[in-house]
Amino acid sequence: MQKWDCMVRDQESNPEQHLPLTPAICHIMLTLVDGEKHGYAIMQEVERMTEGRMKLGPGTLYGAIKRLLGADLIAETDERPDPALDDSRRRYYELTGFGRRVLTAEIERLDYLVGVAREKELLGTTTPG
Amino acid sequence: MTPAERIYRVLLWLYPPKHRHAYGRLMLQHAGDLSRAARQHGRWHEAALCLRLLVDGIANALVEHKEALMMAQGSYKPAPWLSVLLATVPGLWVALSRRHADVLAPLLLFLGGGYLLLFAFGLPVMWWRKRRFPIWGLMFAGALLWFLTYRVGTGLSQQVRLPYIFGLQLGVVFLNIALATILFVVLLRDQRLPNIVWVPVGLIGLINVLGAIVYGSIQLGNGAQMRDLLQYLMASLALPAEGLMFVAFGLLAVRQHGVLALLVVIGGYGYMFMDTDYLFGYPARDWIGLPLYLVAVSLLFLVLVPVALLRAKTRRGRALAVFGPAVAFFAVRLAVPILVTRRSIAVLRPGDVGMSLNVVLVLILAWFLYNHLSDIRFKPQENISG
Repeated sequence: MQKWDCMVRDQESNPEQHLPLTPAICHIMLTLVDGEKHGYAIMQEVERMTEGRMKLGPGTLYGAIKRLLGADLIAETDERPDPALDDSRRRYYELTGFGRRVLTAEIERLDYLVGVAREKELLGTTTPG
Repeated sequence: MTPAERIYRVLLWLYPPKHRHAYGRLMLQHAGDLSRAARQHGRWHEAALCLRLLVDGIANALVEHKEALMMAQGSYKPAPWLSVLLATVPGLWVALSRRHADVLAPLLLFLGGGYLLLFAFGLPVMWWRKRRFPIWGLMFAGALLWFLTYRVGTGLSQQVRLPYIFGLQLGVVFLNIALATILFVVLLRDQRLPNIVWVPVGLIGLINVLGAIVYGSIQLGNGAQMRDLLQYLMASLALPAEGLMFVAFGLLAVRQHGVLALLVVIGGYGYMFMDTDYLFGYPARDWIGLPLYLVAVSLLFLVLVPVALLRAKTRRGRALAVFGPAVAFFAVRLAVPILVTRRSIAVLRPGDVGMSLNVVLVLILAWFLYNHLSDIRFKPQENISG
């Protein structure tokens, strides 16, 4: 057990170990920042976020969910946001504390890259909004 | 059920069973949700979705199979060369002592010399520094177990005047059976072993007993006596008991070393290489190639196996490291004496065949048990980065 415990500790102290995240993984994690969601809701949110550019099929979505669960970046939750509307067959997922740190590290990495791209005038210098 | 769901239900069979059982229902539900949403936009949308699901299902099934294969192979960090070198010392010691074929019991050579001192002084230092039993001590631990049980068993036989019958020390046989049983029962009670372990253990016992009966019946036809048949039956108990004792003892090292605990079993069987009769049962001591043969088979089993096992990086590599040389050794051990003495295979001694079979069966059992327990305790780290 000691070896595995050490591995978990190392992983937890090193969010960078998981970087860079794949686009699908990153988007799935972003959808869970607001709270727990089931698989289909995650897919709908990703499609909305990317304005239809990313459509997650069942194979891609549950492959990604499996890897996220395995790396302790997300967890299954028993809580149901709205019991009246809930389908008991669905499984809900939420971001773990470690997952949130990994996602933050990834966004910071992307933010840095965007900053560099702006400096090199690859992008407009004005920020949106 | 929508056409998309029907397609996806078929596609699910392309996935590895573990993935299908864990996520199949959810994936099918997801496909159904997508299908119902697409249907609201017309048949063309639904047809396009079917095509998209087909690509998604096939592409991701390939990804999952690739990942399952990598997980099955595992990925290991090779042991440091210093540990490998130290682990091979007992084997090298035995192999070098074998250049004199007439030295039948170089037990003191095996246990003696610098390695014993290194072990005696190095082990406490290692424990103090890392709180771990060193890898290089595993083979020695197996050899020491055999030596102690042999000495204690022999002493027990003499103390209670157990008869030395059928070429076997009864005290040693009883001690092996008792130790193997106690260790297995304790590990089962602590839930460190699955109950199903009794199935392969029983199977090994059954193979031995049936083998002894078949071989004995053939020999009875060739003029052997009932006493010989009893001897074969006795050996059919003694050989698996000894092997199971090594396996059970190795289980104590699995928590720290995983499959490398196989070195305990390899070291336990090291005694075979201290006796020329075990390696070359026929009276052909004047054969000029005998010393070379003895050194070669000793190096093959006691040096090549630990080096390859400790340096292998994948599970497949570890399997090859153990079973490649082991199978080669037993093939050579049976074939060379026959070729040299030009005798028929039918006159092989039962112990030669029985021991070869048992060592291989015991190694297979140890491989599966140690891997199973390693998988439970040391879950491989999953990588999700792109």
